[in-house]
Amino acid sequence: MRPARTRRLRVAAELLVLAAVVAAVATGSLYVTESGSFDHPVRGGNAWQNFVAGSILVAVLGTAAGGVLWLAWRRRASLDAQPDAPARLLAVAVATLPQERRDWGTAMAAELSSVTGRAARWRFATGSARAALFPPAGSWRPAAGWAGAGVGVVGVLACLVAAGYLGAAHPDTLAVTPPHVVAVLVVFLVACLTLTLAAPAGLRSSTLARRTGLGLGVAGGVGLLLLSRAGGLEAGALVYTLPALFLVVVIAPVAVAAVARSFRAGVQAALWGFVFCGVTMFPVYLVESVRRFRADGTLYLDGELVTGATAGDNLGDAVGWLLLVVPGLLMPLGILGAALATAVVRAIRVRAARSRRGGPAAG
Amino acid sequence: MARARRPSPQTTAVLHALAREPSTWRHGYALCRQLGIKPGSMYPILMRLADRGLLETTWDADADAAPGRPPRHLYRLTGTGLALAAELPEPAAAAARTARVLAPGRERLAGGHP
Repeated sequence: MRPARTRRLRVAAELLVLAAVVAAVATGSLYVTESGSFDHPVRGGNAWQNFVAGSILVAVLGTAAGGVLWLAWRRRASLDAQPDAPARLLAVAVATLPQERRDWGTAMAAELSSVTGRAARWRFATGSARAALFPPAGSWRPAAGWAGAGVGVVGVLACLVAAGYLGAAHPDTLAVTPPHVVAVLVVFLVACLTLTLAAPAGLRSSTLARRTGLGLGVAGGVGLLLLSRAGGLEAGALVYTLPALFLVVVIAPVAVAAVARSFRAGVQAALWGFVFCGVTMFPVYLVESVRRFRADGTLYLDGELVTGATAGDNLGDAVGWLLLVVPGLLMPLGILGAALATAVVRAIRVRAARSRRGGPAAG
Repeated sequence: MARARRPSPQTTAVLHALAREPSTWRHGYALCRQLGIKPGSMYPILMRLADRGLLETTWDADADAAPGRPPRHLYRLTGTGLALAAELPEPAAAAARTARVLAPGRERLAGGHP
């Protein structure tokens, strides 16, 4: 009874820490997107509402999705069987190793069991964890495959060029864009390059997830461009980006998890979908926003004519809605959906196997 | 036409350390300590050597191991690994460090076997 109670308390403490971190990140992210409008005479009221309601919603969804991820990971890493913190750290890292390297993870964990002394154990565990997170590949190959790396690199360059184009066309862009919005964009672009070229092994095990994310991501960007040019976004880009991102970051991961019968594959599909959608939709959004502002002076996000708004405000909108708010709301749904899909498919298979074993009596 | 890459000084040091006692199975942590290489570098080196067929691995079935401890991984060079180690010049620093680490043991052995 006592070990079970200790285990439950430890899990509860971990989930509490996770909830605190997610809440802080959610509040910070929403502040980034909305704080610029707090003092705005027209948009101010909405901005406060978005900030408060959005923070609560993202925090709740993020905690639920993060909790599911963490519980799956800690079970895979057998965290409760580890004797101390260095062993737990190494177990978490080893759990990311792909199947063909799993023996090496077992080897590192076994070796740690013979290392004595707290400092020596920490040194060995942190070094081995690094080796487990970034094991050598036979011959170097981009994490997202050659096609994915191409789209990733070209997409990041396109994002920079498009931001430059917006800045050149409307020199007030930097003046109306808060520095933390620029910081979020830079972090996103660096993260995209890092992931497409050298993502940890644990994020690249499913080819289906990667190809689905890549295909839908590129389709998302091309779709935005075509629809915008065809005049189908009179009511603003949000009419398209919201359902498109829902398809890429929620529906697709659920389908991938069900087909691959793997929660991990579903999570990877959500991540790759977000990365490729981000680097394709973002530059299209900025370029089209310049065209739209020239045409009718409205903002691209919602097609509204806002007093005092300039074309430069489109940069903050694009960062907020494409790179923070929508993925922050939708990715947790995708992760939860992937977990549910995996559980349902496995349950169906178990039931089918039982009924086959039971023969006619079971039917 | 594939061109074999020259191993890094650390990889060369590992090859030489293993080649010195070719029939002895070695533990990863012992190699780290002997060569002063951190595990974050040692394990990728061992993985690459194993991938290229230069390193043989097995699990330690030592009956003297503490109860409850998992079996440890052991390493030694294959014939190809030994041939490669023989071709490579030993880095001076690694050789000196290995000599320092092995010296007390050698002296004890020499004293015990007049």
